[in-house]
Formats: sequence, C-alpha cells, structure tokens
Amino acid sequence: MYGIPVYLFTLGIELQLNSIAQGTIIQFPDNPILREPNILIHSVESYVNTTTGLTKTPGGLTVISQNGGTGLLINFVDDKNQNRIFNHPYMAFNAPSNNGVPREVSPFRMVMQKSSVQVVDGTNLTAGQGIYLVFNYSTLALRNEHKK
Amino acid sequence: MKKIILPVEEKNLQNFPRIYFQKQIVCVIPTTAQAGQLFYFNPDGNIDNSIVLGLQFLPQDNVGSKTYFLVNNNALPPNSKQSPNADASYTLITLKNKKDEAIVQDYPVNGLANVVNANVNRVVRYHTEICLKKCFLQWQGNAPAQNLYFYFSIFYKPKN
Repeated sequence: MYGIPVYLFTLGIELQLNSIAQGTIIQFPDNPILREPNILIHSVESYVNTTTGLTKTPGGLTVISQNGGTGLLINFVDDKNQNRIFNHPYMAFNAPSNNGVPREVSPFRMVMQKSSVQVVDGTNLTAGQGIYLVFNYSTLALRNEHKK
Repeated sequence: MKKIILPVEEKNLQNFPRIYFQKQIVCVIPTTAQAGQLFYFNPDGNIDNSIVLGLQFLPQDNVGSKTYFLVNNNALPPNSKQSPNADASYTLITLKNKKDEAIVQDYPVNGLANVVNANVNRVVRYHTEICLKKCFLQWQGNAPAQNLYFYFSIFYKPKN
C-alpha cells in the first residue's frame, strides 16, 4: 500500500509544556542523533493521551489530551534555514486521525534548535504536560553500514 | 537539493505487505512493574540473524468482529492477560542492534497497532538488524493489576 514508509530509525522526542499562554513558543532541545548532518527526516507522528495513544512520556510527563493537541502548531526548520513545516497543526501529524498513515515529508535535514511548537489555544492544555513527537529518519552512512 | 536515491530493495518493499517470515514475540510486564522500569525480550537466534522488516503490536482489544488478535488467554499463567491498548498507552518500545545502537527509541507501542489506526495494517518497517535480547519495553504506569503479555508479530528475512 502506498503511504506505508520504510523507516530505518525512529526516535521519540518529548517537550514539556511549561506555559500554556497563547503565543508561547517551545523550542525543541538539541539532540545528538538528529544533529548529525546525514540524518534525513522522513515522517513525523504526534501522540495524544488516549487509551489507544500514549499516556506517559519516557520522562514520566502526562501527555496532552486530544482536545489540547488541537491548540498546538508545529514548525520545522531545515539546515538552509527554511521553514519546511510552518504552523502545521499538531493533530495533523496524529496517525490515527489520518486513517492510520503517518504524515510523510520529502526527506530533509532538520535543525532541532530552530524548530518549535507554538501554543495557539491553551484552553485544554495544562502546564507541565508533555508533547510527544516521533521522528522517523534515515542516514545514508548508517544505511550502507547495515547492509554490510 | 540533491536527489535521494533509495536502494533497489527498499523500493521493492514499498508494496505493502510482503511477508518473508513472521513469528510472534512476547514481552511480559509483571505486577511488580514500576514507572520507568525496563523489560527485555528473550533472545531469538532467528531474529538476530535476520533483517527485520517490520513490527506489529497485537493488542487484546476486540474491535467490532475483529477478534483475530486474541491469543488463548487460558494458556497464560494465572493473573495474566494479553495486553489491551489501554495498558499499552503506558508502554514504549526500544529496539537495538548488536552494536547497541538504538534503531527505534521510545516508540509508543500503540503506534504499532492497526486497531488504533483505523484498521490500516500498521506495520512499521525498519529493514535493519536488531538484537532481540537488547530490545525492551519501558513501562510508565503504576503496577498493573495483572501480568501483561505484550504480543508482537515480527516480520523478517534471512540476511542472505
């Protein structure tokens, strides 16, 4: 079936929602894996707190609710300082909301520290909750190494 | 931008599904589990010498008439059950290879369940080697009332 991607690697990233004030921008932390120059992001998945989703992040934060997720926008910036994803809804990356298919992107190199999540409606969010995104990525160097 | 060319065999794998070999693997989270604790899979020689193509979580949940994910709970020890999605929402999976590199890190187990994803067959493909005894589930809930048996279908093909 078209749309089921081939992933080589997957990494989950959590962000703590320190403020729910409208307009709050939460930068992604630097990540030693995704920082590598040969890493290409292929698709992104967002998670919300449902019995069929994710309740707690690896760091023990309670994941935001489905209604809370509708109040967030995502921004991804690439290594040429271009906005590859600009103000795209968090829930648009939620696979169960997209007939089970994770949203793919044309592979690009993401700069984590320039990428962010923006709060546009904090009504159903609570400070201290966790935002959880999964990045499916590949690296040309490691891909070749694994074929040896 | 430089055009990215996928290896030929990856292109061939785009046509879902193509099962070379499949087997069921299980990881147990006991009633003594605490938040943050890791539970490892048992080693498996077949998997360790293969290229893993995909992984699918098999929850207990009975969605409509789709009961084919159910395993025989009578075969499980007392006070045990096949994990449903609700318990899986507290669980993350990490897969590593022999070099201890994380192929999959902190992936929500429910993300691997097709019952969650509008019944689209949700096989996340990895197409790489893993070492099963280095792979684990991370539990983030309170101690479960029953021992939870997490069943997965793993899809693989021999290296050569």
